[in-house]
Parts: sequence; C-alpha cells; structure tokens
Amino acid sequence: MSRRGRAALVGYLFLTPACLLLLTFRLIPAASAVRHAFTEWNGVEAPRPVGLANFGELLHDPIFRTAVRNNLTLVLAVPLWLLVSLVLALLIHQDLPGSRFFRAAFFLPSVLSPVIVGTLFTALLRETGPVNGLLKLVGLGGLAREWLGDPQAALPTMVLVMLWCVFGMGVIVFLAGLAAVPREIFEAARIDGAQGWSFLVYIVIPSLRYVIEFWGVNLVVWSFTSLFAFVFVMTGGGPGYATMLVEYQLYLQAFQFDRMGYACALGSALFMVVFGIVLLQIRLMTRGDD
Amino acid sequence: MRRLSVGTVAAVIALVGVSLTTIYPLVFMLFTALKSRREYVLENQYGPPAHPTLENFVNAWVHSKVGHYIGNSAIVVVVGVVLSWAVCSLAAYALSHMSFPGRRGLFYAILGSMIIAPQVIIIPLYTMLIHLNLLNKHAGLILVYVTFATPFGTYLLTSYFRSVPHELVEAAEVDGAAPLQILWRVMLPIAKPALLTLGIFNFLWMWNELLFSLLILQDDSVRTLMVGVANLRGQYTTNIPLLSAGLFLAAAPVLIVFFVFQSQLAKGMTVGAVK
Repeated sequence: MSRRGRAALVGYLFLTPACLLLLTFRLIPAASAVRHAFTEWNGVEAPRPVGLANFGELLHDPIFRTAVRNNLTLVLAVPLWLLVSLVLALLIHQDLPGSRFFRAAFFLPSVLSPVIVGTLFTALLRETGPVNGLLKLVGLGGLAREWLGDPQAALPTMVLVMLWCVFGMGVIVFLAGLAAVPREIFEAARIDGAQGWSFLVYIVIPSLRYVIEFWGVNLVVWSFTSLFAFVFVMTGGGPGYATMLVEYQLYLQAFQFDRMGYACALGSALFMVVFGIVLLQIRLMTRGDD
Repeated sequence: MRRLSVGTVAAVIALVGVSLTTIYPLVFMLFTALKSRREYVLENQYGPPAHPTLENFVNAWVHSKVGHYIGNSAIVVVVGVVLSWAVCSLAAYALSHMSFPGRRGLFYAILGSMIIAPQVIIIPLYTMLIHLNLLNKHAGLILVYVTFATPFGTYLLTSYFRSVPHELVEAAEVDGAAPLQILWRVMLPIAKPALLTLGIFNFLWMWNELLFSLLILQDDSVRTLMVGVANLRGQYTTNIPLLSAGLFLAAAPVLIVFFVFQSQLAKGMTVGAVK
C-alpha cells in the first residue's frame, strides 16, 4: 500500500471508536425512533404499523398542546435570561470592588445538578418554607403561596428556578465577550453621553452580537432538551398540566403508559423543532473555521 | 483610590443582592443538614444551627445509602471520563493532523450528531440495551455517556490540536514515531489544558445527569447518585434536615471541583463563543 494510503487508513482507524459509538447509540436509535413513530407499540409485543395515526392523535392531544405552549413560554423567557446575564456582566465588567467574588457567586449554581437544585427549591418554596417566611417578614405575606402547587404560579416559578441555574453561565460568556471589545469603544460612547438603555441597545448589544447569538441559541436548545430533571423532581408536570413539557410527556407516555409508538411520534416532533435550532448552533460554533 | 459614585454604590448593592440569592440557598442547605428535625420544625428554620449535629449526614450516608450511590456514580464517572478522553483525542488527532478523503465531512458528521437529543432516542436506546444485555449494567450507561460526550469533546480537542504546529508532528514522524506515539508523547502533553477542560465538563455532566441513568440503571444495586437523590426526595418529603444532608453530600464533589477548577470551567464555557 502507498504511504498516502496507509496514512489515510490510520486516520480512519483513529476515527473508528467515535463513529462506532455515535452510530450504535445515537444514529441507529434515532432512525428506529422515527420508524416506530408510525406504529402502535407497547415495548413488549411486536410493533403494529398504524400509518400517520400517532401524528393525527398528536394534533388533537390537549396535553401535547399544553406542553408545546409551555415550551414556547420558556423560549419567550430566553430574552429575559439573556438580559439578566448581560446587565450583570456589564456591572462586573466595570471593575467594581469584589468583582471576582461576584463572578464566582453567580457561576456557582450552574455546576449543580438540576436534581439537587430542584429538590432544594422544592424545600425552599414549600408553603412553610423560607421564601414564604421572608415574604411574611417584609410584610408581603399576601403573596405567600404554595409556589409549585399553584396552577398560575408554577410555570413562572420554574422559569425563575431555571434562570437561577443558568444566568451565571451567561455572565461568564458575556464577560469573555466584553473582554474582547476594545475599552475605547465604551469610553467614547460614555463621553458622547450614551447612558442606560440607549448605551445597552446601541453600543453594547451590537458589539456583542455574536456572543449573544451564540448563548441565545444554546439556551433555546437547552429549554427544549435539558429540563426533564427539573420537571421530574419539582412538579411531575403538574399541578394539572401547568408545567408539562414535551420531553416530559414523552417520558410519561413511554415509561408510565407503555405507549412507545406514540412517544416516538412525540420524539419525532421534538426532533423536527430542535433540528433547525441545533443546525444554527453548529454553524455558530464553527463560524470562522477553515 | 477611586472615587465612589452613587452609581457604583448602587451597582455593588445590586450585585450583593443577586449573590445572596445564589449563596443563601446553599447555606440554607448546609444549616438545615446540621439541625435536628426538632430544631428545624419547631425552633429555627432559617438561621445557623444552635445545636449542630452530624446525625443527618450519618443517616443519609448509611440508612439512605447515599454512600452506596456515590460509589456507583464514581465508577461510572471515572471510567466515562477516561474513555471519553481516549475516544475524543483519537478522533481529534485524525481530524486535525492527518489527511484523508472525507475528513471535513466526518468532522461535520460527528458535530452534526448533536441534533439528536437524548429524549428523542431514549425509547429505542432502552430496548436496544436490553437486547445487548447492557441494561442495569454500569457499562451500558458509560457507553451512552461517552457517546453523548463525543461531539463536543471532539470539537473542543480538534480546535485545540489545530493550534499545535504541524511541524512538530512532522519532526516526530521523521524520527520514526508511530501515530499513536506522536499523539501520546507530543500532542497530549501540549493539550493538557484542553484535556482538563473536557474532563471537568464530562465529570459535571455525568455526575449530574438524570434521564439516562434513571432508565438504564433501575436496579438499586447499580443505581447512581442523582437517581438515588431523586428517590430520597419522594421518601422524605417532611424530613427536610435529612434530605438536606443527602443533597449536601451529593453536591459536595461538584462544589470541590468548582472551587478548584473555576477558571478552566469558565474557559470551557466560552469555547466557540468568542472568535
């Protein structure tokens, strides 16, 4: 074999473990999921083909509709998450006293498992927990409630807990972005009198456009695919279906109700939504390569 | 000394306020874990413990088997992290310093597999692991974890390896070194920071993950920590001190990693963000 041919062979050999793993535990199951979306299947007996019936049912499933609406609410919360991180990053970026401490304090929650965060906040947000205790202490006892048990409050409360979990990562990412912006740009804008909101909208956001895009897309992907543990630990999708998300409904259909075929249809729907967003994510990750 | 303006003071107050919301819940967890159930319920819910006790930690470790679950998680995470280093550095070395047809395509294919989220494939994966006799085996969960860590890991190491001058590889080739030797003796020592970042990320992800672990390791003898903690929550809804002790033990390794490797973590977060 030629030297070039042998070198190519070594290259393929080095890539074999990665490709074999991805093929076996990611691609083949994905193809199988799509195939089973067109069947009635309880996981034990052989799947029975039912054509588009699962997707037809999906369109009329009120729980699915609620789950999609809740997922979209989370996507709508992403700008809020971005804004919180951005404002805090700007404050830290001014070299205030203690900025190293603040950075670390904000970053801390994001390394904790959603299981731990969820369980901890379930305790904090109980009827007799510290959050309600604090509200009563400052004379806002009227607001006190069973935060995760109230159909109106449960989803917004979850949004805040998730924000608690990720805003620090956003701060770190934005600080890295800010470090790459020449100081003179901000100083010149200050001298020109840009302040507050207009400083943010006309100076900061355009200078950080790429970083904001990068982090925003990451958060959207996260909101569709990484919240299972929060729901599992905190609410189980309730009260009623107030905090049901598509990924959690999928889990319930598959492993509580043994409706594997229908769950695969749910998964395919989720896949179609996430597909486009992740392609964008990859494009942003590889921007400027080659 | 810099002049303290009203704006600066307001900003610091805001930052202190937000820091309290991230730190107090963790302090609450530790305080509560150190209280007797009686003290927590009847006397003192929010403050530091008046009569600190380690009873809850002992109970969580022994009776609630947190120690046993930590052992299981440690096996999965240690093997997973090492295996992921091996798989990703082999792939990244080929993608950054070897030339062969389809190299670019394979890079994008590996990265592109990220479009397949865990939830989407969990059902076929589950039945497949039953057929492969990997259900309720640590090996089953480890292989799945390494698979899902591969796209980001390969991406991270490939971009790092690319910054290593190709002349170093050529020089080693001239000296007669085989590709594996070059990877081991030349590339990996240079890439230590990237390997550290990848290791920390994988550690955190594998230690914290719930969904795969919940479905793949259902037997109590192999169960991992996060599934154990999630069950603990169901068993002890009213014994908050014991629950807090379990949570604290479960969070401790992650908190240690955070305090030791904070700057590497921050660097890893921003890979791909700033170009």
